[in-house]
Amino acid sequence: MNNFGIMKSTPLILLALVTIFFAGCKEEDLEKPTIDSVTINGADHEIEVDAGNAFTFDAQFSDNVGLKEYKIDIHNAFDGHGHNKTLANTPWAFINIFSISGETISVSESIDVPTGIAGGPYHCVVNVLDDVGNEGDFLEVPIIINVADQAAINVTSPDLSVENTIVAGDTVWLSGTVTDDVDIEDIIIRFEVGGHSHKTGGTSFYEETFELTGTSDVSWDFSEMANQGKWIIVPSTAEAGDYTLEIVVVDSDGNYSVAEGIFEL
Amino acid sequence: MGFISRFWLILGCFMAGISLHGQTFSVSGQVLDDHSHEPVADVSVYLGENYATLTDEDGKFFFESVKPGQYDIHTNLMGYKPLKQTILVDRDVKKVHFHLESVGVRQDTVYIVARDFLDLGARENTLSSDNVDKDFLEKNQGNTFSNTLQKIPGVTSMNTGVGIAKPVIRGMTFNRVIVNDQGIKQEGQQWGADHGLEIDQYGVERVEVVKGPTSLLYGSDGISGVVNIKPPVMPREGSLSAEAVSFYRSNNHALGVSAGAKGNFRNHFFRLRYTAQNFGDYRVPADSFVYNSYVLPIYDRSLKNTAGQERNLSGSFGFVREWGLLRLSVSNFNQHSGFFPGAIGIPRSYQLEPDGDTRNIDLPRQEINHFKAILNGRLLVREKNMLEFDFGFQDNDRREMSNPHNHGTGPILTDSLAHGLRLQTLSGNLRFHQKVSEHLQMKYGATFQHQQNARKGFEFLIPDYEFMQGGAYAMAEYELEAHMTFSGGLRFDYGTVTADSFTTPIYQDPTTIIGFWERTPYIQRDFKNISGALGWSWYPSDEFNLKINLGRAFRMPTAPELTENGVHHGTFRHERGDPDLDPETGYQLDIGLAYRKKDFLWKITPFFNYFDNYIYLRPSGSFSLLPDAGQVYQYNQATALHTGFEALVEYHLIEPLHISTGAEYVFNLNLDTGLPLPFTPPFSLSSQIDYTIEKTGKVFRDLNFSLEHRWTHAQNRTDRNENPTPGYQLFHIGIGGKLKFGSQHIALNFRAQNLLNKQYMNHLSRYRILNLPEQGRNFMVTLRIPLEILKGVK
Repeated sequence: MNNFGIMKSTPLILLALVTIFFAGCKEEDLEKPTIDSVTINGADHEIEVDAGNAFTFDAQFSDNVGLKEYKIDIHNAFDGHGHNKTLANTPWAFINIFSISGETISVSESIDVPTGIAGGPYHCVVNVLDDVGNEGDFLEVPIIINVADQAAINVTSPDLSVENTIVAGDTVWLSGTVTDDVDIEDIIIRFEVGGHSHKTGGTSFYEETFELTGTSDVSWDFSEMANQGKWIIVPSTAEAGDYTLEIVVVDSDGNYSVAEGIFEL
Repeated sequence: MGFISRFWLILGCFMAGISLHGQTFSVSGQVLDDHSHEPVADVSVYLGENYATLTDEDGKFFFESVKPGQYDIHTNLMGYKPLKQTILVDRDVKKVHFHLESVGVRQDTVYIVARDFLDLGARENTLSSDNVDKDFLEKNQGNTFSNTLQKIPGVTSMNTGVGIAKPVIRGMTFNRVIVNDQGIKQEGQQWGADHGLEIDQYGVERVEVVKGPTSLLYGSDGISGVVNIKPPVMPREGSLSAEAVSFYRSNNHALGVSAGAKGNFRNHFFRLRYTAQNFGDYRVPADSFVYNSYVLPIYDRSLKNTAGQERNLSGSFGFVREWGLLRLSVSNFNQHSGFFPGAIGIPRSYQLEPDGDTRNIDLPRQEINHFKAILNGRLLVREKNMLEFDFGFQDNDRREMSNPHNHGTGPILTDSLAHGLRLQTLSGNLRFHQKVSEHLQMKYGATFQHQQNARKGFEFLIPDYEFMQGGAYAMAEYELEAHMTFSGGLRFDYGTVTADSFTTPIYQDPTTIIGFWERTPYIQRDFKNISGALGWSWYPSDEFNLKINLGRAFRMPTAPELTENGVHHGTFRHERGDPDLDPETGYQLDIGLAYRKKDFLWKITPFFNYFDNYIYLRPSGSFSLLPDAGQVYQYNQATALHTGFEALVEYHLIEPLHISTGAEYVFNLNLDTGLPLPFTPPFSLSSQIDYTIEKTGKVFRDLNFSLEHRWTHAQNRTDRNENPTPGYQLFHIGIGGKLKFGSQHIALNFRAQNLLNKQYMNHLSRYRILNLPEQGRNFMVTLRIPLEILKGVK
């Protein structure tokens, strides 16, 4: 009895099968293009650039068929600490799209960092597309932009320019000062799991924000941490590996200053 | 002739002479389906020239103040031969029986209150439908109305977290699924992936899901199906009852109450309902997720800011007179729900750190308010004809709030309203049923809809627009020798849309504008279409039913498809409309085959659709100039195939034991790209064992145990830049029953979803893009207390 239904729909089903067959024969390029490398001034991490200067962006891209475009998107990484008010220096944003072609290509661009922008941590996000619109995985390079009038972070101990050692259960004492020519608003201190790569989630075991409530706080001493009972204690359960200490200072001009140190457990 | 007997109705007419002022009596009775012995609601019953009414939820009807005398009593039920019988209204007559003979074609509103099986719907209807009632909805209750419907084969849902969901039929959603609430098409920016359906599931009592070529009856949209939320039937005459439901769901600590009341006094009936629920962040069985090779933490296995709340209020009032029925329903749906902060832009670990409160609804979030007023009417044109109308007004106020990102050089933003969209819709339907002869029934209809959209907010997505559409159709249903029905019809639709242009300023610095960027031009488009459908239902015996439908599908492009230009949080990519799109048209073939014996049902519903110009978002190969946005996706048209099937086997091994297995599969192909269409639900197989012990004792009643297993296959057929999703298996259990205390009972229902706390991803989830897992184990407890204040006429 169901023969009738099948008979009625036979031509359409046949048409469907034939179309599916032919459609299936098309070889579709679904392979993503890749970003093989990105360097800024020749480095791929611990990048610091100065406002008012240009930096060199070098990258290499590849695709199995043909590359189409890449996009550079530089924006602040102030991590939500941004203040929604007009400040002397506003964060910098840079977006540019470049046409490319071929299966592999190396590009080099000179990018001017303007003056009058807020200094601090930025992200340089690079995206790539191929001819048919396959999207490559993006790459994100952290950059620190220094401006002339930002706060100076002088950590005298430990020496952040070298890798220090920490021990689980111990207290990490910081000494030194933060100075600025304008009012300092916030000092954020974080101790994160992981090294510079930031490929892990950045779980932190210590994060404190010291808000300076005065209107002309031009200096701050790290001894405040102890005074407020907010010293850094490495958890006794902490696992061996690299840790990052990050100090971010926000001033009333909207500048962010960043100091980082690597610790090994 | 043997085929005819099953369509007989028994109309039992009980007369109770209650003399009020010496000279009048009341007349009451009940309508039962002869075959299933179930009461039939919504049947027009006439007494003489001056009295008419409808049957209530128990299939009962009631006339009051009937003057003594001799009357003709009959039903006007499309699809049944009217039978006149003369009764004498005086004290001595107690009971009169009628037998009504079917002529096959039924009217849409006829409703048999209980259905044991998910068959193909009324066999005299050529279109297949799944009909579910309150019991089904209560038993299978999910987080939202859309999630509850997932139990119906072919229906899935597209979720954004826990509180936001929209129905997906055969892999299609957005405007391709129509949801009609009491005849009025729900209009709430349904084109957005993260725009949920604004329906309070506790207020829904019966639902019909129609699949196949629905364009003829429902017009533009609804290419893959229509979800009809039917008006609740009239409460029992003279009854007044209330109900309180409270529920708790462990996974996100959802706590809610829904309280309702209904009553019917001399054919004046009302309903009221208030539902409130709050839920916290939902928990997943994972400590981290991987996004673009970055491992990001999920603190406390809880997804930050996925909490929400809902406050819904609804009421309806109506009455039945000798000339017909009128019902006004007013409802307001209000929902605030948080959005996982990592889901907007590139997720940053600082955004994911717990804020110390798992119940707050922080930024980003949605605030939705949907107001609706619906007027339904039915004019009982004597014996042969019937006129129905629905008028609706809807006001959808959508606010998507997020942290203003002070990107670029423009002025500093302080308001967190990213998108404010206000869509106001006025709609009207007119349906005229005409019984031309015993075998031929005509249906004429006209629909009208006017929409106005206004935008605000610091981001741009769609402009202000006005959309007007109307349609008219005629459909014939012819029944042949009581074992087959043919249907066919034609429809004409017209639509016109006017959208404003929109420009955003380009800033050099916070105060200097150096130019303007036209995001969308002014557009004015008209659309016309003629569609049609043919259907055949064959029911040579009690057991067997075959339905075949062939139709032309039609959908006008939506305003977003024509005008959109911006980053939508729902999809997190730059989407750009095309003002020159043509209507989406195609051909649809739908087959339904069911075999049902007393304890056994199997059905299979294959479908095959071919679209000339299917509208889809195609990656353009160019980047967006907007910050944080990747590639531009451009609306485009392609020829496409869409095919698949649903299959279901249900078996009552012994009376209390119910076993069912359902499968669903969708195959689609964009013939221009040779790639599948995005968001295609994977093959799934769902099996359930249900054991019910009725009347077990003095305290426990109607105990029910169920075990459900759902196996979802991996989805490896994906569109460009869409990730495949691995398969998974889930187990759910349920225990329910009634506790009786004297004449009062309370119903208690316990469900454990994802019993094994399986970590899996849903291919149709908005959070799939981030590789975020779905809800972990979830214990749900529902307590229902019905209160019968007035019993009414028994």
